[in-house]
Parts: sequence; structure tokens; C-alpha cells
Amino acid sequence: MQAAMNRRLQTTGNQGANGRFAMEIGEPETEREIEIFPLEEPVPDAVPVEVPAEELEPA
Amino acid sequence: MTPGGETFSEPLLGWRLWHVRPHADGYRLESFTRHHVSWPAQRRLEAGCPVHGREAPSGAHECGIYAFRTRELAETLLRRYTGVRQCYASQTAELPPARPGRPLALGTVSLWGRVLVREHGFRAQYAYPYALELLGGDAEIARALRGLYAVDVLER
Repeated sequence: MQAAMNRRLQTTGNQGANGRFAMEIGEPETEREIEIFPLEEPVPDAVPVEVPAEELEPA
Repeated sequence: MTPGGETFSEPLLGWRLWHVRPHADGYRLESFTRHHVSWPAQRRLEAGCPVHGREAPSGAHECGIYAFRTRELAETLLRRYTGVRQCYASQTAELPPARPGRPLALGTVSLWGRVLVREHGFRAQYAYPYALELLGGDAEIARALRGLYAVDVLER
């Protein structure tokens, strides 16, 4: 399995960094593809307002 | 839709590590294993690839935005990075300290678009931080990240 991974990295011209992370997230042979189309992209469009501690209700 | 693929409407949540590094406009998240990839604020990070361009993540390559399935897997990478390894088959509950002056962030990340699902994690087309824990930083850096990325940041 390791040899297969090394061949894969060599033949695709991949650099080392992603390759190391790839080892961490498992074997590519088990990969399956999904598609996610969120109704709203999960990127915030407003900066959260920090509430001073003294304004918080006591627990 | 890809042949044989599945389609979802809710983003996935994965776990990641980031470096937290100073830039001209303040502290920013940077990818953990890919140097000089700064995560944009208030907009998605889109996967790019010198071979596949915007087709990343490609099934025939290792490109894409990476994330783990679980916090434990991200913590394992953190322990490896900081040199704190498992000893005598036991693992400490405490996270290892970040290197002095080199703050890190551990947290969740939203993943969407085309996503390749593996045993322990994901490679995604689009991503944005969801919630962060700041390791080795201070309240000022936490506040800066909170303001820039508009996400919850817990200082540990």
C-alpha cells in the first residue's frame, strides 16, 4: 500500500506537504466523491459583536 | 453531479489545524502543511492545483483542501508536530503546548462543493473556518481572529 502511494505521488508530481497530510487522512483507494451545494454558503457576512462580560446575565 | 456521486445540501464539518501568523493587516490563518497558503477572511477558500487548476480536488492527485473527520485525528497530528508522542500506550488528555511565539489554531471547518471522502478525512473544493481554539496565543490574537474571520475563537 505504501509503495502504491509513493508511486502515486511520484507520477502525479505532487509535492511533499500535501502528501504527508494525505497519509494522515487515510488511504486514497477508499475515496468516494460527494457533492455539497449548501443553500447558503457558510461564509459569515457580518462580524460578531462582542458583549462585555458585565452585560451578560448571571448564570 | 458526478456519475455515481451523492449530493448533499448541508456543508460537512471537518477538523483542521492552522498556523496563526502575523501579516501586514493582522494575524491570519495559514494552512498547516502547505506553506504560504493564507486563508481569506469573509470569503471561501477555493482549492487550486498547479496540475488541475480549479478542477481540484482531483481523484488522480493529492490536491484539495484537507480536513480530518474527528478532533482526535487532528490532535494526533498536533502531537506529532509538537514532538509530544504517545508514551507507554497512553495518551495525555492535555493538548501539547504550541511552540513559543508560534500560535496554532485547532478547530472545525465547513467543507462544500466537490468533496472526496476518505477513511479518516476529506479533500474539498471550498472551505471556511467554523470555530477555532487558539493554542499558544493570547486574548489580543483571539480577538483579531474573531473579528477578521467572524467565527468563534476560544483561547486555551
